[in-house]
Amino acid sequence: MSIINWLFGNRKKESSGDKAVSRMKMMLVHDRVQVPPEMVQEMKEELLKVMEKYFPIDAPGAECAIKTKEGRTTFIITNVPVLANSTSLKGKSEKEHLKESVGA
Amino acid sequence: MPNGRVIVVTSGKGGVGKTTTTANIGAALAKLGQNVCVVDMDIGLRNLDILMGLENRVVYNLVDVVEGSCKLKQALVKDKKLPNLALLPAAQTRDKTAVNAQQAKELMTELAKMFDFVLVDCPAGIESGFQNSISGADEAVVVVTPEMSSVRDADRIVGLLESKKDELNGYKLIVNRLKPGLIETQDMMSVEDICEILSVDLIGIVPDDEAVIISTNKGEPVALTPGNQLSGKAYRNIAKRILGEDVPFLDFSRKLGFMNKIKALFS
Repeated sequence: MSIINWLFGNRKKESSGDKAVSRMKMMLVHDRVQVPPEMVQEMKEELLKVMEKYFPIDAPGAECAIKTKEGRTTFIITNVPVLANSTSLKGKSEKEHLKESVGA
Repeated sequence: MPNGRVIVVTSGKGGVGKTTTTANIGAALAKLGQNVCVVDMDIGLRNLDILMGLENRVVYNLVDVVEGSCKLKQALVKDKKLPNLALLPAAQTRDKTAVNAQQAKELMTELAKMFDFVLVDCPAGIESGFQNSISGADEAVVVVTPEMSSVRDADRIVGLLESKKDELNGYKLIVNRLKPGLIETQDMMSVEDICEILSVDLIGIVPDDEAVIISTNKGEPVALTPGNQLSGKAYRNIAKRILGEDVPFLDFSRKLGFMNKIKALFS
């Protein structure tokens, strides 16, 4: 097995070329829209506050990022899990919850 | 009277091979029978004359033409070997403010009437020199080397070219100074990676080649040097592609080396 291990030794290691590609992609997406990463974080927090008014969401599980797709077009991608059976909503209808949140 | 194509060679970052690229594509196009003028827009930092081996023949320059101190034809320097190849040199003692975008554009229009191809060697940067260079261009070629700083600067250029989409007939990418050895060990961004990141179509891959330095020393573009230099071939292929010929790219993809092939067998 040692020969196999030796042969397979470097397989999982990310090459410096791959590292350059991933750093490059990350860097350019911010360069293109001229928005620093901190600002995306700020926007995420604001977005989540708005979403919380309407849905019981899993804020710590939420993701928000800007990404380039389809050539050079930049997209804001957010993935926010909604807590369908959240205890805080038990017994309340959706309508009631909405009213409450908007009123708050 | 030809209605020539004005192609600007640009990159953003300095030192990635814009001038070498301009000289070689110009020479290769001329060798293919086209009437070609290469224009040095790097005012104050003249270099294209050296790469063409014409530094001793420069009398007038681009700024003299723009200021009316001489006729355009007087400033053109004919190549030593190819009579259908000419150089319009930059001024060495002036700076970029000596010419504005309108003047540059008018100059390109004049040249396009005289030549089939006008290749403009753009200065580094994204300021006035770059703006002047693209003001009269129909097409652009972006030169990039497989380094992060070069790709980042090229991305800026591509963004600026994209914003001028209405005036340009398109732009293509040349990946220059590729080191096949580093591609093989996966220690360099591949051509595919760069094209994908920048989202620009490729028109040429030029390997890193000592023959380029040697030919520069001799004042003769490597594209015209007899022999089988890969870089020379790469430039000649680019010239053919510019003329619409479908030439396959030299293959520098991340080839599996012998050891990697064995590893692949076990994976």
